Amino acid sequence: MTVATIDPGAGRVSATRRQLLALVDWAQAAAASGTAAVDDLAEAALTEAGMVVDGAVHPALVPVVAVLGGPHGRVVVRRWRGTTVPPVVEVLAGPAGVLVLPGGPDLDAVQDLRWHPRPAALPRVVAEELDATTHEGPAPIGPGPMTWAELVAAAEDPDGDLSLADLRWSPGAGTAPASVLVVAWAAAGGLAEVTPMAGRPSLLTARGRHPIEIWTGLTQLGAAR
Amino acid sequence: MVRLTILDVAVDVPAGWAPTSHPTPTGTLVARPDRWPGVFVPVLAVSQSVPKGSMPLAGYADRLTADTLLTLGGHLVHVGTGHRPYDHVDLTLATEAWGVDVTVTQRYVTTGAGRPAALATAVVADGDWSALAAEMVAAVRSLRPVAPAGLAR
Repeated sequence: MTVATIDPGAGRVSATRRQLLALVDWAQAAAASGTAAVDDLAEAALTEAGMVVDGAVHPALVPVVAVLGGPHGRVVVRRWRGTTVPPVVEVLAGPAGVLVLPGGPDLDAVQDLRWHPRPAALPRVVAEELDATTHEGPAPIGPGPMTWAELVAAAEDPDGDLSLADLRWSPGAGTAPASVLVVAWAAAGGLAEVTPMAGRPSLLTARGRHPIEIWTGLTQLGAAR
Repeated sequence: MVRLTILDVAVDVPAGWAPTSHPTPTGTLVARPDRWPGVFVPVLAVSQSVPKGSMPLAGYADRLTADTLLTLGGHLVHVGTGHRPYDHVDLTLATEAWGVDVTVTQRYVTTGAGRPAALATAVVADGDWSALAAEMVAAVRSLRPVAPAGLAR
């Protein structure tokens, strides 16, 4: 079993999704039964990984378990830029704060976890993960129409300077996330929001946006909750 | 419109906001809404900044960005410079202050060689930002020099 890296002093806590899910299951079962020894095998594995200490969740992982156990908001960020595909980033928000899983959906990929104590930090954390240009400028792509494949190809062009990101949102862990923002930008500045064309949803159109407009949209994530 | 006579600059304060001037050596204007339902009351502040001297505007943009990020930290949302209607630097960032996640938007205006420059700053809780964004950006960007009283521009 992979040994989790838990070094809060160095600002580093990492584990795989498989380990984290096992830890959440174990902690919830322990809380429900009133005893920590609900699954000896799971506890042994989690103890071996350093995630359970003296029959309790490692203190550095307590807020992580709290967010994973009951998120009220989930953002999935997919990005395209050049030939290297960045891993999908998942940002979860719950009463215990905001948790970033930056290592993609693979259950055995190691996640270098980041946690913020306030759930209201969600827009800023997502903006940091999006990392769009801060400079205004002309729309980096034309109004279209264009297909999704054409848009991705433009972003993956190693000779271009276009970045593309798709933000998906769901109000909890049990709901499939739906796209709420598709944005493209040029390294030299200039952003565009990409939306389906009215009446022709298989085709896309792009409209220039100011960086502050994109930020304003992010601040509305979860506002209807 | 509220005019800050010490600096000879003016800003358009949102309707219903109460401006107060603080007798600091440089003079500071602070305006807030009379009542606000949220935990963090949004604020608009105008203060004097460093004289322009001979540094080009791009240099000021770099300094303003660096100083603000050093002071507040956070995520840079927007930075830009322009010359119309006056030389200015715009900066917006998302940060945390006083335990609240806030959006800070600023305009720095130079008012002429050898004269004091001015900085308008709006600070709004992220949860209120979408409702106030247009008004705050307009207020900050209304920062402008005005002629001393009694003098025609």
